Amino acid sequence: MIVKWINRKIGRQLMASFYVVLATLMISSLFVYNYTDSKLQDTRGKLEDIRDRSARAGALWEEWQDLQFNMRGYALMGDDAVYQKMNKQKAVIDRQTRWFEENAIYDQGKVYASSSRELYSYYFNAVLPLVQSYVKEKRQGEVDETFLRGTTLANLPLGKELVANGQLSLDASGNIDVLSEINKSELALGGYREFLEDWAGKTSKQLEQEIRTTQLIWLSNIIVLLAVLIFFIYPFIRRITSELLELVKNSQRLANGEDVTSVKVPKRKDEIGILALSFNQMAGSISENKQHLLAKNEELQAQQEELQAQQEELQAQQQELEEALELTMRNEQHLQYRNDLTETLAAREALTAYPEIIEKLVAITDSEIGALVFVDEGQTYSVVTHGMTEQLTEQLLGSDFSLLKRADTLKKAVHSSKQVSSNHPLPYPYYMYETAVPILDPSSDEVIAFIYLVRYRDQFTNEQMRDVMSFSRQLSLSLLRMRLFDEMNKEKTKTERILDSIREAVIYIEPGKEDVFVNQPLYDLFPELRYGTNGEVETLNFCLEAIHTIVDEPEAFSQYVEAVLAGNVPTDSLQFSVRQQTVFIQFYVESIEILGVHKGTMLVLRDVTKETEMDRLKSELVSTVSHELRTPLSSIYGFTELMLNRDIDTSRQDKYLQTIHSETERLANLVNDFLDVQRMEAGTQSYKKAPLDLRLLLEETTQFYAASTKQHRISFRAMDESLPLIEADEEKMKQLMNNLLNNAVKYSPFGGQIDVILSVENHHVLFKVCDQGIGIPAAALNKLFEKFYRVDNSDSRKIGGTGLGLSICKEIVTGHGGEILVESIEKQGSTFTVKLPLLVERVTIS
Amino acid sequence: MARILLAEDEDVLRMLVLDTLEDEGYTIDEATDGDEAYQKIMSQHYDLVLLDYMMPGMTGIEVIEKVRRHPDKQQLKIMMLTAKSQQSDRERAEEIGANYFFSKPFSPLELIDVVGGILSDRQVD
Repeated sequence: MIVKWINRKIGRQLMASFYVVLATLMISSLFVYNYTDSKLQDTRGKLEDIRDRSARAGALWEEWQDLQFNMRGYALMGDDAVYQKMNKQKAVIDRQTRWFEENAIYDQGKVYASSSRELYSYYFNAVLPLVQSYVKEKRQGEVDETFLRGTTLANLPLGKELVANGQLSLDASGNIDVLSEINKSELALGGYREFLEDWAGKTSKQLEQEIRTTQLIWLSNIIVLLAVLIFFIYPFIRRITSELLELVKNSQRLANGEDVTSVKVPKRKDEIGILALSFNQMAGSISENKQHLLAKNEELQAQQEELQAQQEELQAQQQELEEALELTMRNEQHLQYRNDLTETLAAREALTAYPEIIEKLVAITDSEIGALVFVDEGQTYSVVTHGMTEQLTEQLLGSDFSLLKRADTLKKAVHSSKQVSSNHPLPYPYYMYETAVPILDPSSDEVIAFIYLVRYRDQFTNEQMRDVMSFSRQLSLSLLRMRLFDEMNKEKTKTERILDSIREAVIYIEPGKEDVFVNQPLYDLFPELRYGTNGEVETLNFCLEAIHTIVDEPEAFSQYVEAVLAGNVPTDSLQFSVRQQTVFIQFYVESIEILGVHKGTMLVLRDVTKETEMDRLKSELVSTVSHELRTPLSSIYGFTELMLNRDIDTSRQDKYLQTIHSETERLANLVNDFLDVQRMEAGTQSYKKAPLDLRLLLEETTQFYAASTKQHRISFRAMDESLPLIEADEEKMKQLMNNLLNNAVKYSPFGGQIDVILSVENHHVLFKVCDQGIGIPAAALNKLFEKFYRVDNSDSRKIGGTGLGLSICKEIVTGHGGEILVESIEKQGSTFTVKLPLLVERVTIS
Repeated sequence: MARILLAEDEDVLRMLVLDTLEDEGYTIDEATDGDEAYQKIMSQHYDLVLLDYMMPGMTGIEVIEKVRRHPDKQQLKIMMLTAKSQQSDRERAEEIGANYFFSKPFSPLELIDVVGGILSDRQVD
């Protein structure tokens, strides 16, 4: 499983090898470390054992030395404490010696142990009892010597016995031999020690040797692994590379178009294996395709050859056809020119394509050059040429005996031929054949133009001449039509001018025609018509729809228009308003008939705004006047009837009489106002002008009004002390003042201050009447001085009036060369200013 | 006695009608404009309303129009006192609900007769 998995990718293979090497390296290193460590431990144990044995040997030996000293001391002093001590040492030595006896490993140790045992038995079995007996002898005084002598000992009974037993030996001088035994033991110890040291050295050396060996093994292990890496991985990579190279090589071959049958597929399951397999499939499929293409190619080549043969045959046929076609084309060209020319000549509008006409005529008749010559009024010529030099044109027109003159006289086509001079621009000195065809006005039979054509090679054929003649007739008709068209246009312009000059807006339509004629006043009346057009209304529908959108009562308008379009021309006119009753229009229709035949319909729209306004004002006047008149009349009539038919007490009689009187006065004033207005309208108002002190007049009038009202405080102020003299009609000035003050009082229904202020300014005298009344709405200010105009709101409606007062004021002021102005804020009051020229100036000037 | 509302903006005419009818024993209530007249008609009972045509605020026509919208004022007798005697005005006023017309200038004696007639009709009914 794992091996398969690894084999599938090159990367995995490489990584696997690397891990194997790494693991081997780790294991061997671990082994080397462990081995070295155990060896080290082993050696350290051995060395410790050796040191221990050496120490024990030393200690035993030192015990022996001590015992010897103690023995000598005991022998000398006979101290029992020392003896006791020696007995203890005996036990120690015995134990130590036994250790060696039991634990000795090496021969030297065993030697040392046995020598120590020998010494032990010698000392404790022989020497010590001997010394003991010596001490005893000494104590008994049998022996008297300071120092022990060997001989003494040997002479002791026990000594003798021991020597006899062989347990003790005597030296040459008869002393007991103690030292030889000691020496023997010391020698054994020395040997043992030496051996131990020697052994320790050996062990260390052995360890060193072993570590070195291990290191060597480890190093060689690494080297072996490296070798394995080199000897295994390198061939592996080389194999991969060579396989890839093989694939690359084959790919290049394939790219160069060579045939690649197949690449040897390595038995691999990794990328290379797959690549090789795929490559083989690809190469196979390419080669298959190539085979297929080659087959196709061959087939095509065969077809091509066949086609080539056919083509050659066709080419031959085509040549034939081309020749035929060229001929046809030439004919067709002529025909095309002919058609073009006919079309040009039949053009409905302005005929300006003269250069084209002559060019085509030249082409159709196979001429070289040509011209159209027009006979203008006064027998002068104008000419349009094709291919003619100025010189040739001059020759044509200049000569008195030219071809044209002849044609003109004969009224038919004339021909001529002449030899062309050598300095002629054309390279061949042929005869030049000229033809001039007169074009006659069909109505008067007069020559109006000529067609002039020139050929250099041959004469015109009959057919060509027929062409020329036919076109000359067409041209004559075209020219006539053009003249008629021009005349018609002139007529049309004239009609347009006439229609534009009338003030009514006019829309003229003709039955069965979409287009429409409108005049300038229509645009003035409905500027909306300019929107969405290029400045000109083109259709009736557009026109009517545009008007329809601004009409206040569109239904009535539509009805009327529909009736008109249906052919029932209404005899009544329609009056309608547009743009929220700002403009009133009278709409009527006239049918245009010529010799009893209906030719068109004229829709006339008359702006009757002013008339309507006047009508409205007049009817308002009638109602106002009748109301204003009837009130005083009613009261006079009623009160007199009551007084005549009833018994009424005197106080009521007085009241009624007073009322009748004031109402009669009101009636009289009303009548006067109307008369004034009448005169103003008729322009018959005349003023009796005389020098007048305005100040005095204002003072008096103000005082009169101040006395007549309790609600209002009326005061007069003069800003200037000088006497402002003016030239004026005193009565009219009084009327003016009365009207203004009357209004001030009337339109201040809640009382308040009324100021009359007089001042002189430059060459004028100014007086103002200011009140704190109900004021005038801003929208009403500009209409205030118009006749019959009354401010229409709830405040002013409560206050009666004819709407004449202020228009009379204005008439009086303008009649005196002055002006009257008004300023007002609604609900705060109004100020009327009258400006009149000073008389003083005129006097000094004169 | 019958109660009459007199709506008239002209002081002198109001005085004339008032004096005339009060002498006959009627109780007369006064209004000087259309608004006042409407307020009074709606708040009190009258046997007859004399209504001037041209008045500040609401005109006589407007007052009738508004009054007649109320179900309990359908039977109220209204006479227009008017200087406007044109036929078209009259038709319009009738359509809206004026019962009688009386043209200015008028005779007080005739007014007494007419008012008496109208009010006795009521009594007969």
